[in-house]
Amino acid sequence: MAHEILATAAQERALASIDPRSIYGGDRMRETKFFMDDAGNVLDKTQGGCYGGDRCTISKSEIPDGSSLVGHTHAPADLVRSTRIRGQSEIISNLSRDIPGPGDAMPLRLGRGYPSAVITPGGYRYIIDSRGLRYIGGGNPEFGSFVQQSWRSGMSDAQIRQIAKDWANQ
Amino acid sequence: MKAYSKFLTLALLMFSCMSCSYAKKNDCVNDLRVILLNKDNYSDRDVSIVGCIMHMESRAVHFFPCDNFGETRAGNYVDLVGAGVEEEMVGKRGEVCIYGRFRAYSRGFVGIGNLTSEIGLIEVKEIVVK
Repeated sequence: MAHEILATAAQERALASIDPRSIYGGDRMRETKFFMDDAGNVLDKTQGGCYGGDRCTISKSEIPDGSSLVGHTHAPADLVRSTRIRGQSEIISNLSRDIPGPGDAMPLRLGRGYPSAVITPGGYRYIIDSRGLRYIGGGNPEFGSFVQQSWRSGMSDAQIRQIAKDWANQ
Repeated sequence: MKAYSKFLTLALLMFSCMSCSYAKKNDCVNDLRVILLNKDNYSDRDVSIVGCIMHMESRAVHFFPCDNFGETRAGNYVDLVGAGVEEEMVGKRGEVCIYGRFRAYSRGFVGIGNLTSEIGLIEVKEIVVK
């Protein structure tokens, strides 16, 4: 049986209370990766290997010694667009940014395996580990719980967007 | 005389760029399938690869073998990244040649979020429509 990859209680508490602004890198349109130890301390953060649009790579060699969780932020929503009158598709797009992406479970397969954490532009915080995806705070708790019930590892881009559509249409 | 020399230099420059692009189009003969089947042999190498591209709603850009275009199995495409690559893709249709650096995904290197290929990514340097 494969070993379990689990976030610690201290990591969950740290993620639930962390100020996302302390994580964001200098380029607001790109994601920031961060690495936590068991106690929930952020050991390092970087925007290297992030391209915007929730597209980052992670190399085992960039993870600092002592790290036991790999997290990343989603880039904040497009500030120009948010000032326009928004159509349904734009609402769906923005909601989608508050949902972990299709490949956000991949740190579980990196090296010995790491729990994955996601902080979204709306302040939602999620952990993905061997227990699946858990919403641990931020934003609208009803939406966070809805995502927790609906999200599955390996979902396609279209299926992730469908979660946002289902929420918007209910 | 000075103006003539400038014109000649410009014409020579234009000609060399055109022939360079022409050469690239004809050099680009490897189908993406060679990477899909032998990803480890191509990792961290510069490649020139023929395939078809699809710009996803999420802003991800996937690169498929043209005869299996849009086949969504994650082992059947590679991710494309690079400065401004999404903008370059918009409106492009059909077969293209991608020049760039291929990096295979492995237990030591993964893509997250909207990078969903099981094979790897190409850091794009240039796209040429075939």
